[in-house]
Parts: sequence; C-alpha cells; structure tokens
Amino acid sequence: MTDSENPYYVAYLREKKARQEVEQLLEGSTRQLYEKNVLLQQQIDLIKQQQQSMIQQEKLASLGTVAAGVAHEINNPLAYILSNVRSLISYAQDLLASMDEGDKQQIDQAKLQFIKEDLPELASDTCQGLMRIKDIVNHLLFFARTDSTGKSVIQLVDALEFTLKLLRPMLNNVLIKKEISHVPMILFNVGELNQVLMNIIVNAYQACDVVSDRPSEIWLKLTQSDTNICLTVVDNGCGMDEYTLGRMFDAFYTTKPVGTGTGVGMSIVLQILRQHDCTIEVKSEPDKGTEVMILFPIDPQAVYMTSSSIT
Amino acid sequence: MKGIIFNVLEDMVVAQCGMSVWNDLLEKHAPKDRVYVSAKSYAESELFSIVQDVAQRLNMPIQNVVKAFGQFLFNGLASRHTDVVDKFDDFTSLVMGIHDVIHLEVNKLYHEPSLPHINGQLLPNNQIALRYSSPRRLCFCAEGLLFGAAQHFQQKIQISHDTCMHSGADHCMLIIELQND
Repeated sequence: MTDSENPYYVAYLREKKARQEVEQLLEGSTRQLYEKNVLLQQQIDLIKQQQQSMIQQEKLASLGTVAAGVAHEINNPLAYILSNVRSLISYAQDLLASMDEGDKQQIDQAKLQFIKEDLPELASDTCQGLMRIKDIVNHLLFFARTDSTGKSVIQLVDALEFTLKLLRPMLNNVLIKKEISHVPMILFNVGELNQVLMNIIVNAYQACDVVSDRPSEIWLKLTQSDTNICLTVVDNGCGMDEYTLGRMFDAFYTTKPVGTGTGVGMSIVLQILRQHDCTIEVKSEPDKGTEVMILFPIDPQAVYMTSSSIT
Repeated sequence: MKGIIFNVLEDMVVAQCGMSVWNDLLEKHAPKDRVYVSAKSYAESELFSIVQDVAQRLNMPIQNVVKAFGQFLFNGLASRHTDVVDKFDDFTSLVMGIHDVIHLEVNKLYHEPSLPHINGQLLPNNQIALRYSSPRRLCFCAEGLLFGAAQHFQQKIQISHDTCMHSGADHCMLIIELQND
C-alpha cells in the first residue's frame, strides 16, 4: 500500500495542514507584535529626545535667571581692567616719547619712579581680573554644557560649591550656612547634577526673596549613611501649602508670577534624579520654610575612586 | 536551525521517499519524541545528519541533495509566506531584496535566526553577483533557493560558483546569469 492509499497518511496531511495554519496565525501575531514593538521603541526614543530638549530649555531659563548677576560679576573686574589698561597705555606713551627724545630732554625722574612702582601692580591686577572673568565664563560654559550624556564620578561638594559660585551675585543678601561632611564621590551626569542643584537652590532663594520680615537663610547639609549620601537644602522662605507640595513635581505647575517660571524645573529635577536612582523628599510649612532632601545611592565604583584619591 | 527548515525537509522526504523513511530518519538522527515547531531552534547537527543519510539512501552527492533541498525549501517557504514573495515583481528584485526585505521579515518572526550575510550587486550583461558568507557554509542550499526563486518567477538562470567557502575561501561568490528564452 502506497502512502497516498494509506488512511493514516491522509490524516497525517490533514493534521500537518492544521498545524501549519496554527503556526501561521502565531506568526501573524508575532509580526504584529514586532512591528508594534518597533513603533514603541521609536516613540520611547522620541520621548527621550524631547526630555533632553526640555532639560536644555530649562537650563537656558536658569541661565537667564542668573544672567544679570553674572553680568555684574563680570562688570566689576572689567571696570578696573579697563582703567588699568588705560593707565598702561598712558605710561607706554610717556616712556616711548622719552626714548624718542633721547638726550635732548631729561626724563622726569619722579614720573619714571612712579611708573616703575605702579606698573607691576597694574599688570598683576589686570591679570587677576582677567582670570576672574575667565573663571566666570568657564563656570557658565560648564553649567551650559550639553556634550556629556554619560555619567561620571564626581565630588558632590565640588558641584555644590560651583553652583554657589555661579549664584553668588544672586545670593548676596542670603546667609548661607554649610554643614559639609566628607562623603564619597557619586556617579552622576555632571551637567544634570548642576541643573538639579541650580533649580533647588534658586527655588530656595526665591522662596526667601518673597519674605520681608526676617533675614533670608539657606542651610546646606551633606551627610552620609550606610547606603546613601544625603544632601539637604533648607530655607526659611515662604514655604508651601499641602496642595502646592502635592503638585510641585507636576510639569508646568508653578506658583511664580506669569513670565518668571517655566513650571518644569522641579519636574526635570525629579526626572533626572530618578534616572540616577536617587530619591527626593520635600517637607514644607507655609511661612516657615522648606526642606528638600536628596538621597544619592553610594556607588561602589565611585567609593573606590574616592578612597584611591585619598590614598 | 529553525524548526521551519525541518518542517520543509519533512515535506520533501515524505513526498519523495514516504512517511516511513522520515520516521526512520528521525529515529536515527533526532532525540526521542522530537517534534519540530517552526519558530523553535534545533541543533544543526540533526539537519546535517538527516540530509547526509538521505544522500546515502539516494546514492547522490550530498551537495546535490542540499541543492535540491534548497529548491524545495524556496517553494515551502514561499507557500507559507506568500505576502513576502508577493512584494517582488521579478526574480532580480527578490535577489536584490534578500538582505533588506526577506531577512527583515525573518527577523520579525524568529528570535535569533542566525541568518547568512548576503550582498547582491547588479552587473552588466544580465548578471547578478551574490556574496554569501555563513559559518554554516550552506552555499549549495542558497544555490537551490535561487533556482527555486527563478522557477517561481519563470526566469531561467545559470549560476557559477567558483569562489566557495568549501574550497577555503572566507565567502562564496555566486554569479547568477539571467537567461532569455
């Protein structure tokens, strides 16, 4: 009996056809799943791009907040550099004229003595002023940097000091109290850490700025537990009610006057911190002040680098 | 090796040698109670052993059996995936779309399908140069697949296969000549 006459062969073919149809149904679903997955991945990439763009816009907005103070910081050294350079030009003209005259005219010895004494100081002050401007510009560039997308091992206290330097003109009338313990380095994206610190300290300043019946104070505490490094920023500003506290991380929610706040600052802070496995807790009381506590996980790699740098 | 390849091999053996031969081959070369499911992966050694046995039974060189299987495989795959084959107007467009279209579709369906690297280039005088490389060195199967595709599109072809991985080269070069009636 050939296969074609065998009833089991006919049953075999029937079963095989049935299995093939089931497998094709499965393949159809698999293909759909694949295509939806590709679409989903594209949308995730787009959201990531938009988040990056939002962070950058917020960063530029923060720069706008500090721009006036920074301009003032640059103007001070610029004013005396300009004055010094004018004096230097005048001295140079006097000296060159004297050289041209040669023996024909005696150089005013008293004037020469004055130039001799004043010139090193003028040059040194000018140089220091230029270094100060360079420093400020470097800080601005460091803050605005967009090149770094990866995490690096950084000292939190350095980033904190850097932010305070950048905000120094703005914080002139605020008493800054610091309790800084020696803590290990952390693994964080540098530009994003600057953004987080800037947003939180500017918020603390702005909360203080609207209160006129007491001197403004901001406390900065840096401590360490077994598993975390804790940064606490406390201000004695206007504080927040329960409703505002509940919505403070919502995008586009702001209590600031129209045109002064983007409303995405704290939402971006939360997003950045989550991406770095950090947590943030906020306590606040109206007319008393606000306490923001950020917990950075201790990273073994960063701890190793800290201990290596000490030894 | 994906189960679908074994499914088509089963079709070919059953059609040409009968159900009992396929049962014998499975008993000899596959683990007990082996069932080939199209989307799952199985050891390549099972396929190679079965094909080698078939070649011995038919008293044919193994390369010819692999080539014949390749041709049968095209029809088996085309009948299961008509929507993919229908994307091509002719033999040339199918060959030139192996990497960008066919392999893309295979990747949608199967996890880690271990596809060969194939790169086609149109040459003057109705020729296509197809560069093939794969650790499995199934270039004769690829030749058979091309003949199957040519038959599907009613295109006469001739293939020269002078550079071959079986002769020590790191890739195979298949020169396909399209022949007019």
